[in-house]
Order: sequence, then C-alpha cells, then structure tokens
Amino acid sequence: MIIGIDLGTTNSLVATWDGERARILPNALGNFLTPSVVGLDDHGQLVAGEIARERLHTHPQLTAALFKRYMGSARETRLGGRAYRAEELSAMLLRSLKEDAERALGEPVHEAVISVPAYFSDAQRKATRIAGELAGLKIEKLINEPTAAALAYGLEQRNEATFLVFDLGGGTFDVSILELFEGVMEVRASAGDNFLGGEDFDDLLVEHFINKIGAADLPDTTQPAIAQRLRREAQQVRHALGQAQVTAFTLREQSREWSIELTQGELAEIVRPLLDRLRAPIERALRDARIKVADLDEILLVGGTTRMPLVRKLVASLFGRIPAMQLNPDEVVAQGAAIQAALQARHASLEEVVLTDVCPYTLGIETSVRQGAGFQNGHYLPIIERNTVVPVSRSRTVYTLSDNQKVVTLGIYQGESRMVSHNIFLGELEIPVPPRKAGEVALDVRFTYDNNGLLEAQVHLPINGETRKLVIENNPGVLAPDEIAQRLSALEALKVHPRDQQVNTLLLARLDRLYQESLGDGREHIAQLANYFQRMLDTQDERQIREARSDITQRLAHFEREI
Amino acid sequence: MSHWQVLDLTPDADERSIKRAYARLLKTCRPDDDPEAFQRLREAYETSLAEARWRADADEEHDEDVMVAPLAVPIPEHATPAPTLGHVESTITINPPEPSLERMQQWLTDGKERQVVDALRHWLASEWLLPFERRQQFEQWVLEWLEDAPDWSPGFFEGVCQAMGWDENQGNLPCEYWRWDRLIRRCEIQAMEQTVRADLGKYEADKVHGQAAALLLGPMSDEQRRGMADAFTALDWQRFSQLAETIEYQYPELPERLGLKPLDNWRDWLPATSYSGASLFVWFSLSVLLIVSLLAGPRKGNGLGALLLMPLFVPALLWIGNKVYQVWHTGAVFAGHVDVRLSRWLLPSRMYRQGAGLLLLRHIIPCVVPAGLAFLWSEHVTWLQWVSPVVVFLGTLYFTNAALSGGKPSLWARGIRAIKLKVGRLPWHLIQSKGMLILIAVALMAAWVYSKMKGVV
Repeated sequence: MIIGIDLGTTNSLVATWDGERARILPNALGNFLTPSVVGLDDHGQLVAGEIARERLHTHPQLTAALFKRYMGSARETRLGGRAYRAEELSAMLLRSLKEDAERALGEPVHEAVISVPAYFSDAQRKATRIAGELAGLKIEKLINEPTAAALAYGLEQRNEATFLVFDLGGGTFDVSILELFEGVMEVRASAGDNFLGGEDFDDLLVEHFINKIGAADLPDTTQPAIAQRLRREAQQVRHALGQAQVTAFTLREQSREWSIELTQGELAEIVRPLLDRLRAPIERALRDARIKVADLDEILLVGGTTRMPLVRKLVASLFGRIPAMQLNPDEVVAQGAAIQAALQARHASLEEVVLTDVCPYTLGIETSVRQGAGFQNGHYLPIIERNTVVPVSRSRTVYTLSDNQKVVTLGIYQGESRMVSHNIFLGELEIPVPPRKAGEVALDVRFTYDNNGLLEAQVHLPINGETRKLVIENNPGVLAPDEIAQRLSALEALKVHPRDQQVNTLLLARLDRLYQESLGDGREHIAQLANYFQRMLDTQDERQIREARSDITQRLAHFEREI
Repeated sequence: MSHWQVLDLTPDADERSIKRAYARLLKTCRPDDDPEAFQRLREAYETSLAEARWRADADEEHDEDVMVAPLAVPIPEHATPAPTLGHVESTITINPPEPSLERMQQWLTDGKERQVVDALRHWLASEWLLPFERRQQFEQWVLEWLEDAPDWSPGFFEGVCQAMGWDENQGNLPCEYWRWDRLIRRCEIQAMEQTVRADLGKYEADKVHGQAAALLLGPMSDEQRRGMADAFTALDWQRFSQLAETIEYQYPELPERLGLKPLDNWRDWLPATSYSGASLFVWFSLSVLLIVSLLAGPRKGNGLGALLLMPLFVPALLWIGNKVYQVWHTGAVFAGHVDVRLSRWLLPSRMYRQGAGLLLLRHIIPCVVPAGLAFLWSEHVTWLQWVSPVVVFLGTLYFTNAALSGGKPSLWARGIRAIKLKVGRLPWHLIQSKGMLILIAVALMAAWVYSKMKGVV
C-alpha cells in the first residue's frame, strides 16, 4: 500500500486510494489535519500533531514548528538536549503520520508519495527524500503540490481543459498552469515563491500589533512563549476576520492584558505588500505557458490560506472571474498525492492518466564571454530552460579559455539572471583536461533532470573520451549518506508517545496552555478542571475518564468563546 | 526517423491529431518507466506542434493581412467592463485612472520623465489594472512607448522597471530577450554618452580633468594634440585606451551621436612600450661595421684586442647614446609645436600620422647619429662608407617607427609568433627574454670572429 502525504508548513495530511476515490485518513485523534508540529514530552518521548501544538505554548524549548521553511538548509533547532535539522523534524512528523495511517488502514505502510512545493529547489527536494528515509518510508515519488491538486481535480473532470492552480499554503506559494487532454495531464508552466504563505500574514499582523502598542509597553516579544502566543492570536484574528468585520487582537501575560481592534479594511492594508507579491509568479507562469487569461477554463484555489476572503477577492479581480469553489483547499493536495500513489502502483480501478511535469527553474553553468579584447567571467549559460517538460536531458558544448589549460572548473547554478552572481550555486565540478591551445578542448556538458526533480550533471570530453558525473558536494543543505545513517539510528532510539493515550494527553496539554493564557478567576477554574481530570486519570477507569473528558472539553469550548 | 514518423503521422497533421497521437504513444512510454523513449516522443511532439502552429498562423495571416491595428494612439479596449468579467466587477464600475494614456505618451515625448514615472505608479496602483489582461496590455503599451520615444535617460528606464516590476535577475521581463536587449543597449549607450559628454565638459572647463576623452574625441590641431599627449601620465594613457577600446568594440555609433570624429589611429598615440627593436638594430649593425672596419683596416696588430673589447664597447656607446638622447628628447618635447609643424611639412603623412608617428626633431635627427658613426667607422671600405650610413639610418628609422605604432604588434613579435606556430612548442619564451638573445648573439659573434682571427694570424 502506497500512501500519499501532504507535508505542509502548518498542517499535514495523509490520504490513500480506496479503489474509488482518494480518502483522507484520520489521525489518532480522529482529525484529518495534523498540525506540522513535533516535540518531546516530559519523558523525552516523541509527540507530534495537536499535542505538540498545544505544547508549543507551554514548552517552547521542547517543540518545533514551521520547519518546512528550513528544508534544504543546514539550520538546526534545539529540542531538549539535542539539535535537529529540518529533515529530522520532518521525519518525526512523517513517522507519526505513518503510524496514524497504519492504524487507520490496519496494515503496515512502507511506501509513500510526498508532495512538495513546485518551486522547491534541488536541495529542498533531496532533504524531503531524506526525511522520508529517516522516517522509515520508501519515497516512491515526489509530486509537486499544485500538480497533485490538479490531478485530484482533473480526475473528476475527465474532459479537455486548461486550468491554473493557485496554491497559497502556510509557507509557500505556487502557481501552475496545466492542460488536460486525452488522458494526459500536462503541466505547462510553474512559478512560485518559497517564502510566501499564511505564516507571513501572521508575522505581519504580529508586527502590526507590536507597533501599535509599542514594544516598550509589552513584555519581551522575542521570548518563545510570548512569540508563540502572538502567532496563535494572529492566526485566530486572521480566521475571524474571514466573517466578522471587526475583531480584537489580544495578548494576556500574567495579570496584564493588551488589546487592539482590527477591521477587515485594516487587515487588507497590513497584508497588502504580501498580496502584491502574488502577482509576479502568476504573470510569469502565464507568459511561460504562452496562455492568455481568457484561455483558462478554471482557476483552482489550493492551500489553507486561500480560504481568506481577501485572497479570494484578489484572485477574482486578477483573473476577472470567480475561482472554482467546489474543492476543499486543505485536502486536495493529499488526495492528489494518493492518486499519484495509486497510479504508481498501477491500481486497476484508476483510468490511465499520464502526468508530465516541468522543471520550474533554469539550470545552467558559468561561462566567460568575449568582450572586446578580453573575456568577462560570470555569465550564465542555461542548459535546461525553465518550464521544460521533465524528464529531460540537454547538453551544450563549451571550450577551454586559455592555452595549456589543465583544469576546467564548472560551476553549476540555478536561476534566471544572466549573471551567475544573482543565481543560486548548486555545485562545482573540476575536470582535468589535456593541455592544448585555447578553444581546442571541447566539453559536452549534459544536464539530466529526472521525474523527481533531481539534477545530474555529466561532462564528456570528446578529445579523450572521458566522462565525469557530478556528485554535488560542499552543499550544506544536503546531508551526507553516513550522516543520514547516524541520524537515523538516533531517531529510531527515540520512543513515540503511546498512541492510545493521545486524547488524554492532548486535553492535559490544552488545559496547561489555557492555564498559562488566562487570568484571575478563569485561571482558577482551569486549575480546578485540570486537577479533576488528573484525578479521573488516576482511577484508570475508562468510562469515568471518557465522561470527564467530554465534560471538560465542552466546558473548555465554552470558556474559550468567553475570553 | 523524422519527428512525424515518431508520432506516426503525416506532415500535414493538425494540432488536434498531433495531441491525440502523442497521448496514445505516451501510454507506452511513460516518463517514469522509460525516460529516454519519453524524451524522444516529447521532442517529436514539440517540434510537430510548433510546425503545425506555425502553419496555422501563416494561413490565418494570409487571410487577415489587411487587418493591422493602428498603434498611434492606443485606446483602452476595456473602456467598459467586458461582459465576461461577470458579477465580480459589475457592482462597482471602475474607470481608467488619470492621466490618460495619450497624455502620458505625450509627456514621454516631451521628456517629462518624472511625471511619466509618477503617472505609471498611479496607474499600477489602481484597481483598473488589477486584471492580468489589462495589465499585460498596459505593459505592452509602455514597452512600445519606450521603443518609440526618441529619447529618455537610463535613470528613467530604471524607474519604469521598478514601477512595472521588470527585473532581469528574476527573469521577469515583459518581452523577448532581443527586444529587452535593445532597450538595455539604449540605456548603456546613453549612460556612456553622458559620461563622455561630462568628461569633455570638464576638460572645457579646467583643461585638467577628462583629458582622455578630449584627446580621443576633442577637435584640436595636431600641435595641441601632440602637446597634450606628451603631458599624459601612465594613468591618463590607461583611461585613454580603455575609453577608446570601449567605444571601438561596444559603442561604435557613439562618436556620431556626439557629433564628433574620434581619432581613427588612436593606437598610434599610445606611448611606445619599448625601443628595444631600434636599440638592437643599432647595436647589431654598428658591431658588424666595427668588425668589418677593424678587419679591413690597416692596423691589424691592434685588431685582436679591439675585437675582444668590442662586445663591451658598443653597448657602452649605446648606453651613453641613450642618455644623450633622453636629454635631446626633453628638448624636442619642449619644442613640440615647432617639431609638429616642421614634420607635417617635410614628412610623408604615412610616417607623420597626424603627429603620432615620426617627428623630425624628436626621431629623425637622432637617427642621424648612428648613421654618422657608421660613416666614420667604414672609412676603409669605400663602397661601404656610402652604403652603411643609409642602411643604418633607414633601419633605425624603421624600427623606431615600428615601436611608435603602439598597439600593432611589431614585425619582430609577429615574426616570432609565426615561427612559434610553425616550430611548435620549443621554449621560445626563454629566447624571447632579451638577455638570452644578446648572450647568444655575442657568443655566435665571438665564435665567428675567433675563427676569422685564426685564419689571419
């Protein structure tokens, strides 16, 4: 059984193909969305999802969130006594998702298709694969998120169509233009921004709040516990302003309280810089696909942030039409990943759909260009142009520059600028060449970009028949194989918090958080509830615990509405 | 196998059947299972599709080539909300912002760049330009204005790019690279023009700054130019050659835009890197003459001692001559005006080269000195006495001239290069260093003289 996983910045989902449709699998708590938060509990056991999210406020030193943003970088986050890379944190989450899926399916799961933002780079994709490996999953394929969404959508459509997927998630923004014909799902162009999503909206709201009140009056907002509380509040305000005209942004700390009023109009003004950034990737995708807006049959909104009325309104006025509403923007990517998994397994119940995707950016090498009498270095020679259909293999020939040159250093870059200094350095290949006159030694540089978005560079010298392949080294964003093995054993040693206890643990974590957030009488009330629940847990009587749980949950729901 | 055969189609297939054939074949070579077969299929598909589309376009154009949209005054096509926009905008009618497009274009023609950028920003911030279709059309108009407008500054172009969000580094361009490059080139050449103009202006003002540009482009007499070049420092020359090279290779149309005529022989003006050719020639010819006169002369007894001293004697003489020449040169530079006038009058223009070539006082008169020595030393052989001064004079003149025509590789260097190409990879760089060359020549001569002496004694 291959499962499809949408590994999101804020929330993650698991789905599977049940023979008729893609079905989202609930986690141990019965929810479809699992927050992408992991952490260690007081006994050093691994917790993920809702519990970890509650603990984010009470134990910020032991929990981590938003780690998808650091995939493909060497940045580490400390949890308790150890530092973890984004791959490892993702692996913890994947492990938890895998166990939830196994529980829901009643059978072991070993393989998965994971979705990644279309605009993810080589290093970020590799990191995602490593995360899967660390979680004990064989990654059958990485699928681009908008492509997955289109697959889920297109499977129901079944007729010819050209559509645009607008995918604004928690941390990333992707645009893809796809064409569906004769059972072929073809991505025409992809563009995006890897650092633009709902979390950035929240950051701006928090910033606005701090500026409005004045940093001097507030407690230290860089303190993790307070920063988390502000973030959560910002998220709630953003959601509330979806319906309400006005809402309050409140921070409570010990016995003090700060609050500002926010209207929909103010929200629009605050997030305007982010909304402006949505335009350029769409324009580029349209231009690259050579498609006019009028030729698009449908606009699909994907990703939780597209639930914001502000975003919907903007999309409507950008395209001059109402985008498709029938999709669940949170679930469609996971469904698409599950469909891809089923296609991968050649599931008999699925009509054949062949999917072709593109490489979202230009890949090339550094060259020198003759300028007057001399040469100018640092020019970019594209080898695979962006939005070329993959898998693809292209080659260009370059020549030596000086007499008796002994070595050619081939810098490999990704990006759109004509000077490499503005592009992203991917790796370097040193090729020894036989000493000849300048320009006599030719090098055929071949780039192969495979279906999973991984790049291989190969250099062939016709003069002596030698061939060299690039193993990208010295890239701090990618873990070395021996390091992976080492981290794998460290992660395996980590015990997972028992699954059947999750409901109770979540409630305790929630009580803990509310205790810290509330003041005076409310606080007293929460303390009483917590004590009561602990007493019930101590009785170890299933029935009593269940009753107490539903009672407290109701009271808490009431309590949270009050404050 | 042609791309049509890959798809199993005839070359007149239309887009629809190409797509169908591609979809059918794709099921047998999926990108996951057989990447290579897929790539072949994909390439065939793309080529066929491009051909079919091109053909369709050509047919269409043939039918509609009467319809050419007037470009002069663009009128917004969406002056009223189009029915396709539906109920999104029907509630609020949005009008195009002020100022009007015609007004903006007029401003651009009048060079009111600031107003144009402000107006652009105003337009871009408006609700009117939110939909992509309008925005794209607007972008194309702005692009066309820029292309049509006779004159705008690079700073203005930068402002427009910022406002429109055009960014080469991000690959966000409104048009194809060749069109973009033309605009960039306009910017570059204008920036260059401004710099050169500023330099010339500075020179006009204080005669101290901007000399390089003035020497290259400024209208002036030969005397003035020679005087200016003589006062140039190494840094001035560096600037001068940089400027000249940039103009020659990158902006050949620049002088015309400035309405000036640049020096067409600017390389001649560069100071001679070395007079070693002339020095070597003088040393060699005088040495030979000295030996010949010693051998042919009456006092054969002293000959041996003189011959052994000779390798020291001529270089010492040259060294002294060089010092004397330096003094002379200073004087000649001082008298530059007279020199230039005399030379222009007396010398053929091929040698004089607007004052950059041979000059009478500075070069020709010093050449008479070695010729005089040759005359004196060859007194024992009558015919040699008349031939040698002429040979020495003309030879010295030739090598001096070669050294003066700066940037061009001298005959000497060209010869060595030609030999190097023929002979291949001998260690010529060792021989090329002058010390080695002189040593070899001295050794050869000594050997020759020694064998002669043996015969005589």
